[in-house]
Amino acid sequence: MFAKQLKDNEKGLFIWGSLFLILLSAVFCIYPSIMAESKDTINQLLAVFPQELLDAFNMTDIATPSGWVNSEGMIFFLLGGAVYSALLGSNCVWRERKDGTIEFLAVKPVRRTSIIVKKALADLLSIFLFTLVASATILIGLLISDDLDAPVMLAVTLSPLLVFAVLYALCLFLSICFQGSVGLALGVSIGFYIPVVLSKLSESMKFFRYCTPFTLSDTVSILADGHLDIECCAMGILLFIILFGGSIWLYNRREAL
Amino acid sequence: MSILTIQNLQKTYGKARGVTDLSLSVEKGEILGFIGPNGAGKSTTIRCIMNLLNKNSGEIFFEGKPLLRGDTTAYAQIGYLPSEIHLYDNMTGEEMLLYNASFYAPGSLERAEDLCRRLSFDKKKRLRALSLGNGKKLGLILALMHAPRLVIMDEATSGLDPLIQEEVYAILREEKLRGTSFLFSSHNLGEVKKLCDRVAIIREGTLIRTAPTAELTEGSVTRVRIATDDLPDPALHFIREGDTYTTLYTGDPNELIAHLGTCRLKRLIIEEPDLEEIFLHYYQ
Repeated sequence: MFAKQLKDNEKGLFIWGSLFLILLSAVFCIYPSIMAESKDTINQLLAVFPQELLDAFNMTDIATPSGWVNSEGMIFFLLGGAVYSALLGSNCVWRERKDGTIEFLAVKPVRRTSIIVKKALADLLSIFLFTLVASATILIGLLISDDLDAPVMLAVTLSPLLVFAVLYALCLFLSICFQGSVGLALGVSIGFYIPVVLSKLSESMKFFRYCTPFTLSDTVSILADGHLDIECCAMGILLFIILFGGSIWLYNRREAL
Repeated sequence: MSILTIQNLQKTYGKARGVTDLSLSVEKGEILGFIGPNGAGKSTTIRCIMNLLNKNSGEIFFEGKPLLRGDTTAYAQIGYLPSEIHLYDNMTGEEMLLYNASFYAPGSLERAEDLCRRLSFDKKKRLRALSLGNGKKLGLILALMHAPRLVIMDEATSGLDPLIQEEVYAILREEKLRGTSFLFSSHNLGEVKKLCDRVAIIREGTLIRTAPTAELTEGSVTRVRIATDDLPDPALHFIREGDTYTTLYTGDPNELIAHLGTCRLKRLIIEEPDLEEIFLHYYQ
């Protein structure tokens, strides 16, 4: 079942992995020439924005490749990975139900817990491989650009794993409760990014950062501290365990059809 | 001894009826026909047995032990053929058989090979390219390949051509001789009569009759056909067909003769009805 789920994910992983590999590689190829030509224009444009906003979005130094990664690059990576993880989560057990194949699977001599755990392990491995591809592309790109602080950038590019795992578990749980779909995945992944933007707009709205799993991968604080926030990691793992445990509990009680 | 026992099964879909207080049993080595019109509760009963649906109340036992969701030992001994087969479209027949075999003890692939040959199933084809009949053949192979002790079939032969149907009947008879038991849900009363040892009739979620097939088709219900110029006794519920009247009669034959004596008969035919007529008799 694990191998079958992994095989089912093959095409999606190839598409999403290739997309990020090509996009990130293209940026690293053309970014130096863009910066050489338009650095002054971009700096003038950034000067229009308040310093707090630039700090919040880590846009104080986008003239370097690492500056671009820490600001825009990580936003693309986080959002793209979040959508991919949410799609996998909402389809994990829902797709079998939608396609009717659950009537084959649920009557086999296998426990429901085993079904959901094996499928989820294959999905999480796919998410890990996707993150690894994107992270490796960024690290290699920065290495070639001679702009790599390896330990910090490794922490920055791998920290989204926790966000992806939590969003995956959340969509899995919601798909068992309400039925999954592309809409659910997009809604959850993009919807949870809105509090991130709101939390960075002003001090009074900072509390929004506690309403979203994206806070678990906070590039600004990783860059400031030089390492992952252990409390954030623990919180992420706890959230994942609660949501995934809840999914198993619910899946064992719901009707298969 | 019963291999499958259902006691007071109750299943509702919100306010809608599913099955009500249904009790039946499948004896070891028998084929129990399970008949009823669409929406009578056959598939609901079967899906409750397979734990695809949560029952509201009642008990289901397999070989004397409660059949619970996640009982891998029990479900390893049960084969299931749903009425509509949904398979993994991106797989070939061969991959599907391998995947199914991974859930059971070794040896099921050899049986699958034999069943593929007997049912003329081309396992190289992608499942998305299978016709309804070939999908049904694969469903039959998947249900039987692990040599289960109980097979539950919902519309086993619908969509199959007559030659393959005959081969399926032969396979089921052989399996029965090996001691396999069947719960055989069908609309095809001819095949139920041909195959089943007993028949359970379900109507509006309630089991209305369980009896040996022979008992249902011989003796207890009689088709009475008369030709008369008089109006026959309304108590006999005769239906007029041209110049003759026909009814299915259950009850004391002496009372039948007494009722028939009230009019002058030109012709009287008393014969055994077929299963279709008995089925309709229980529904009207």
